[in-house]
Amino acid sequence: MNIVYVCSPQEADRESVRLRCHNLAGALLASGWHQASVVDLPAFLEMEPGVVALVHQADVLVIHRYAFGPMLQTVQYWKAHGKRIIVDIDLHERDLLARANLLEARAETLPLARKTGPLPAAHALRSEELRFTLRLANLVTVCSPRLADDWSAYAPTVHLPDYLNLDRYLAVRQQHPGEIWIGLMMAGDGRTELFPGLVDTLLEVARLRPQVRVHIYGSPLPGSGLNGLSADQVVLYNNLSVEEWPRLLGNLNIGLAPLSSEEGMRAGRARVLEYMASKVPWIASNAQPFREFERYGILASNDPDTWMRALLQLVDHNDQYRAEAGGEAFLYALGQDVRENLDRILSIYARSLTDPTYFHQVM
Amino acid sequence: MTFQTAQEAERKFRKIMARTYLNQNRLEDALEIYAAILRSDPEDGDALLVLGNLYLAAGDASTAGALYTRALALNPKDLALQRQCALAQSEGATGSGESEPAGEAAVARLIEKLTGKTAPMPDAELEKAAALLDRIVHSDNPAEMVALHLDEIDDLLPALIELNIRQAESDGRPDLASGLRNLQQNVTLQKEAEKAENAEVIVESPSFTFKGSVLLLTADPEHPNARVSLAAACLASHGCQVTIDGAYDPAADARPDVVISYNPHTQPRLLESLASLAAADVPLIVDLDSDFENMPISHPLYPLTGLNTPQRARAFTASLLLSGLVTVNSPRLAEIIHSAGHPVQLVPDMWNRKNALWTRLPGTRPIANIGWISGPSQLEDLASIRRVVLRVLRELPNTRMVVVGDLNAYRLFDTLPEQRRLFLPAVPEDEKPYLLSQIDILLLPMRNQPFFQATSDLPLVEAGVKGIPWIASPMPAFRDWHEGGMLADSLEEWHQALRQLALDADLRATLGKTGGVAAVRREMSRSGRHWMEAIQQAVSVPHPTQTRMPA
Repeated sequence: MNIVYVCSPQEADRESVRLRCHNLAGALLASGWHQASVVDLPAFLEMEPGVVALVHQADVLVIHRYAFGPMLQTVQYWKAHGKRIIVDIDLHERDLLARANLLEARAETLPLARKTGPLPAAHALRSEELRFTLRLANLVTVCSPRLADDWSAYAPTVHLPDYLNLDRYLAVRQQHPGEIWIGLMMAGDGRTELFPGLVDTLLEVARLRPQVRVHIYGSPLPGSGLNGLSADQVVLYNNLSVEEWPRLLGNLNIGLAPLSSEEGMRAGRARVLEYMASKVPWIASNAQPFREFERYGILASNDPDTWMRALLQLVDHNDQYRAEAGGEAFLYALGQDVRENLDRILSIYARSLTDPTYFHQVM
Repeated sequence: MTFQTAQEAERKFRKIMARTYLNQNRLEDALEIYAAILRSDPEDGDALLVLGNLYLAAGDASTAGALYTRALALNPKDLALQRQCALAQSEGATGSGESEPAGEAAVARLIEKLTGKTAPMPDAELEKAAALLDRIVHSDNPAEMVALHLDEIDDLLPALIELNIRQAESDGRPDLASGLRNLQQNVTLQKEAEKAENAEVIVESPSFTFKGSVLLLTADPEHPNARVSLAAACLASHGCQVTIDGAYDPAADARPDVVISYNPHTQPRLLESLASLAAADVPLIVDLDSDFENMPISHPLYPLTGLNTPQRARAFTASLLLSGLVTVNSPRLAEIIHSAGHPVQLVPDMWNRKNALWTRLPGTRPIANIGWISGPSQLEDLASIRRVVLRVLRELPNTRMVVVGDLNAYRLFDTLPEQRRLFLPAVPEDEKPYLLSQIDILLLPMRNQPFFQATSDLPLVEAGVKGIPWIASPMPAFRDWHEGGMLADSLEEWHQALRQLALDADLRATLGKTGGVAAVRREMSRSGRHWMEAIQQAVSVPHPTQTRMPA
């Protein structure tokens, strides 16, 4: 199979692109049996010659996230040329449509639009365009079962969970005796969401346990700031790139994965899986994306008291929890490497090669 | 009872059965009885009359007349026969004129014409196919057997596929059977098209000596439209050196031998180029693809191509005056240009079989897609039949409305659930076959206004290539084409035609096949000679005073 992934080059999408596109493309190539490439979305829409040549050879196009706007016409063009289309969605619709800066005000200048002539006056809403594109797609892959529920009305939808490239999580652990590092990754892709009181809870834990160091990655601390704590107890990494995160993960003693909103309920499972792959004990919101890992960590309901108890427990008995995290949880995570699951991923992609099962879809 | 009497009694009984079938509108059954009677007794007057009547009803007056004549020879004083003879003569020499009107093949064709249904595969064909298959499978060298019987396999291909269809159905594989049926239809269509091609006499003009350089001037040379691209392709195939450009610079560009300029009034640089070329005595052809003088203000292309400014109106007139010949794509437009005093030649729109999308087999779907494509039919045209379309969609749950290119038109069907309607954006013309493959019944409503009266028949030709039946307003070009669909004027006719096509998949297939056979003659390799004729005329007679129309 020859697969081309079409992805956004935006910084905000980078972690997701790595997880949902680069990881899979790399594993496919490494297998030696398949071809895979990743192309930039703007180049795809502009029909740049190199990209066109690449796509002509592909069997399957995977459009990551942005399947609306001028993508509708481009997807139809390639479908006309016999390509199977998979749309990969890992965000709630609201988040997805709000992020489409990439596609703003481009439509009339793109090659396909120039070839088809002036458009009629009416413009579709982005949500309409997304639905139109899904009707053209052979398959929709989503990162969580809730997203499958959202989109299954428009196209055959399959839950394709996040898989890791474990090579990225083999960093040497930095030793920090006498300290307990609690980590919270605040990437801008909806995989971590604070609920009211969580930050105060963290700071309170740091006050109660002087050995705790709260490491916040990717964003300034919201709310009340340091709140009387010393600077070495709260460490901020404001400009962390997604490439650095796995290296830092292994240094944590406790990883946090809070989710709180409707959007969060649709997130993928990668955050907790990363902790498990790095042998880090974790606490996560008791949310759908993480329920399969219940036996390997702590799922807590989103209230400050529950999180306070869970945090203090992990801080006070960290050695024991670290030992457990290095056992079954780690072994389970090893089984979620993308290369270990290539057959499953390919069988999902192969479904796009059969005729659509929905009568209302486009052949 | 004597043998002859027994025979007569049996024939009498069969005629009673046949008349009963006719009264019950069971045409197939009645026809088979009368044809069998005529085969065994070529002088049976009743059979000759009934068969003649059926051929006349199917539009084959030639065959009907021949049958009536035979019957009249047996019974010259029969007044009814005399009337029928006169009626057939008055219809003219229409129809194919069957040499054996009672033969199985002719009867199958007659049934198709009368009922719109594809005749079932004759058992004899199936037996031959089965026997051939058996010999191949049981031979010592199947590959060699296949090689030796390639011609026979080719002839029996539809029957061989039929055997596979029946096997698939008995194996409980309706999806496979459906796919094989599509394949069978395409194979049959190709065979009929080949027959039509062989039957037609190709007139290759002996005067196609022009092999010079042709400059095609168009507003958007980077993305030329289909008419320009096809012209370029067929001129090149005739040995011309073709260039597509957006302007002519006398200082920098080589002098072409002839120029074809497409809608030159739409771009000032095109007219400037025409002026330079005219000054250099280069033969000029102006090609117009619409009746710009009558373009309505509401037309989406009016701001870009309509004569809405004095400059553009002057440019339009000037381009016609500069040209030695005007080429157009519809007979009505040719009449308009001719009546304005300009030499004009009709160059019909065509298609190119080298675009693989035209011949790609469509997938199967369990519903009938009723489709409308924006341009030349407009939003207002679709709105005029909206009620009728909605009525059919609501009555027949296995239908869906497909709207291409115009979102406002899609919104006309907002009352339908999302699964019952589909919007597809417009695509470049090369990919249009893909859009057509999403449609099972094409709707072409158009207002009865002068601009639309000059519409080209291209949408019907393209529908024919893809085997799609159509329903269209009776525009002159659509009336002239008439193959593969139905014309509808009133809302009642639209409703009747749409409902009939939506209900009857066999009728859709038959009309699609008819359109497909007709579309073959507009394939570029056959129809491209019109461009060469236009060039020949422009080069030999720069300013002819007469109109040339193709035969």
